[in-house]
Amino acid sequence: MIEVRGIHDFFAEGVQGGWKAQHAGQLKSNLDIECDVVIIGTGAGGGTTAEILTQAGLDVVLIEEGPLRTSKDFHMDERAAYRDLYQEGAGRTSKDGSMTILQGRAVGGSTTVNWTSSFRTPPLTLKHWADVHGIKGMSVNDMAPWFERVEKRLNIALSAVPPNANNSVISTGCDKLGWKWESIPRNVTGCWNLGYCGMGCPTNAKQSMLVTTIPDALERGARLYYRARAEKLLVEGKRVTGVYCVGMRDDGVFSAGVALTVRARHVVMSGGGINNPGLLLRSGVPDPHRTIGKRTFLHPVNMVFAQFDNAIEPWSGAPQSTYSDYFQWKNGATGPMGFKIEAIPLHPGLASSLIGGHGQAHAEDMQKLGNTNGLISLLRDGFVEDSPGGTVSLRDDDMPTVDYPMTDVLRDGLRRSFLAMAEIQFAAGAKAVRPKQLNVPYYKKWSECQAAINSYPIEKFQTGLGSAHVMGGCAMGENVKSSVVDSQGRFHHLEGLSMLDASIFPTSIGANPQLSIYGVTSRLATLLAERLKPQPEPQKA
Amino acid sequence: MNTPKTGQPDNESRRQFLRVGFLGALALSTVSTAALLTGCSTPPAAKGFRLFRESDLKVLRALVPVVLAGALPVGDSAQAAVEETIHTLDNFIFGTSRAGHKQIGQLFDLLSMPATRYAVVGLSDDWDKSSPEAINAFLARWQTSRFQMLRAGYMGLTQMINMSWYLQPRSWAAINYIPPRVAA
Repeated sequence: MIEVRGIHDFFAEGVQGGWKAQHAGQLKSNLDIECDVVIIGTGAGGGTTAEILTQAGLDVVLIEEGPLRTSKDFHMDERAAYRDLYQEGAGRTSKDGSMTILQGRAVGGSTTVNWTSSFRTPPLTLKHWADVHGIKGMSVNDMAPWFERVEKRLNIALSAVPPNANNSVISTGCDKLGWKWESIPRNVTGCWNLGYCGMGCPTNAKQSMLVTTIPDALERGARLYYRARAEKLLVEGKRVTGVYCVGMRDDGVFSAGVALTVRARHVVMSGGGINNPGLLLRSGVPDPHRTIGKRTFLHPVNMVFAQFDNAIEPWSGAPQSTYSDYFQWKNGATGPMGFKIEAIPLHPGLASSLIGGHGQAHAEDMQKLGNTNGLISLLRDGFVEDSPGGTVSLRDDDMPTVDYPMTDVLRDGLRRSFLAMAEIQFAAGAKAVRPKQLNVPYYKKWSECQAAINSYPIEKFQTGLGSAHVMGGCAMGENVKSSVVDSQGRFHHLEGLSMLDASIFPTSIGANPQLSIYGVTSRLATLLAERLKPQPEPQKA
Repeated sequence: MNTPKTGQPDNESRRQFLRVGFLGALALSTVSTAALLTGCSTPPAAKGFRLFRESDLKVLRALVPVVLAGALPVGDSAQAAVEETIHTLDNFIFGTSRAGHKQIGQLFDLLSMPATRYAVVGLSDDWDKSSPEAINAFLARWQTSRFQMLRAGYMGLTQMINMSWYLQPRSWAAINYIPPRVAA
């Protein structure tokens, strides 16, 4: 049995040594503070921004709704991880419940729980943004130095260890079929190859915001308030002047009855898709063209299971190391929906819920978990008219939720990706294959499986759907009628407010988005730091 | 594209849908009226639970052994396993959101209130008097229903219960899952 020992929890030591990190739910009384910049959210966008702004000498406050959990707390236990580290205790779904949405909620945001896959924004995506959405300053050449900088900062490189059996299904199957596959760059240093990235890295190998930019910002004097839910932006006239937050209890659900008010020269929202539009909607900021919360993209994910004679142990080893983009750009950026094929790690709790069914049949499927491979496809939404994405609104508990429509373009993409994944698995030697579709059996032969998939009703609550990538909802663009922020992330309708994270992407990415968020945010936060540096006239032109 | 398989005659489905529409609405309005009258938005949780009420526990104690048939231990430890699964589920739902608490409350109201239990769930006897076969038949009806709402109910219930069992270390030996250890 593998044992994790001897890990140095330098975050916990930093806090003991004087970093300012405060549980907002444990404040004794209401607190009013001031700073240069308040950053709401500590994930890929917020963490990157915090480092750049503190390096520029600005006084920064970080607000995080989730808890502070560090390596000593990461026990590779699904129960604790889902409860503590994910939005809504891992219970977040689309409005009608048809899509499970896994999104981080902890210091470090989704970077604390992601599977480390690090892709630059694909060139065709950047070109589409410029051509169709009028984005300025984000061509492949514009972005290259920012990606290089982040790759160096987070040690992004191809894996030093061979892929696990779960990922090898992709390479083996694609080789048999003559389909191209490639290896996935990862943001790790000294990875133990355990397979528990999704529950918080117990060895501090993953170069998440939790172990890189946030410690750097705290070292430079930034103040972090966690278990603080941003309720409303403070607006005075045409200007955003801060944010009103409530301290949360450790259950993450109920307010602790204490308020934190942060006044700042500039407010940065980095709460991600869904949460950023939610905060704007709660705050009642101007929205003359009803663009807030629209065009929310999820990379809808479908899944196929395959049983093999050989051991797969889909819970063990780096979760994602191999992928295929064979079906991603066949028609350029537009046309039928492209998709990226990857592996999904399967730990018992999550697997039991995904595998579906009940009773004896489910128990038998679970007994074969050690011989089961899981493949997923991320569908590239938002590039054609029939892929408008979801719309964020507020529920009656004032929390945001996204209503995501099923469309014909998506149906077609889901069917083709079911076929592609199943074909790879049979080619790799699977003995039985089952798409995640309600009431379907394991198929023993490709021809039988293919015919069945071609007859599936692709509908909500028939086809199992999920998402781990929330993008958009505060789309950037230069046309105020179709966007929320400009190409620098500045809110169109008020001064003093920027959005720096995945919520500004005008489409999905077509790849796991973390490096896109780091790269785009690095560029925009650097421009913001220039504007905010102490000067006689810091206003934007 | 084929039409979805329903597993039951159309007119029966339609009748069932009408009952769901009418009685579901009745059930929910009754619940919220009762809440208004008592001035309490969340009925009290049963002793030892954060959310589940006695009426929810009656449903779960009958439903969990059917969903987890073939996975739960047999003999003396079976009941403890069921109880721990219900506690795990209680904690999971509690950790979601206030909206999550309300939704689950409404689902369990629909399952347990006699009118909807009869009309929508299809159980003529109360949960603690229903046979595993009858409960299995209910699950199969919802699983294969042409109505999205019932399929959603099936998927929600079974996924939550399955996960609440397999999150527990006691379930892992049967599936040969051995996680790495963290040194104390």
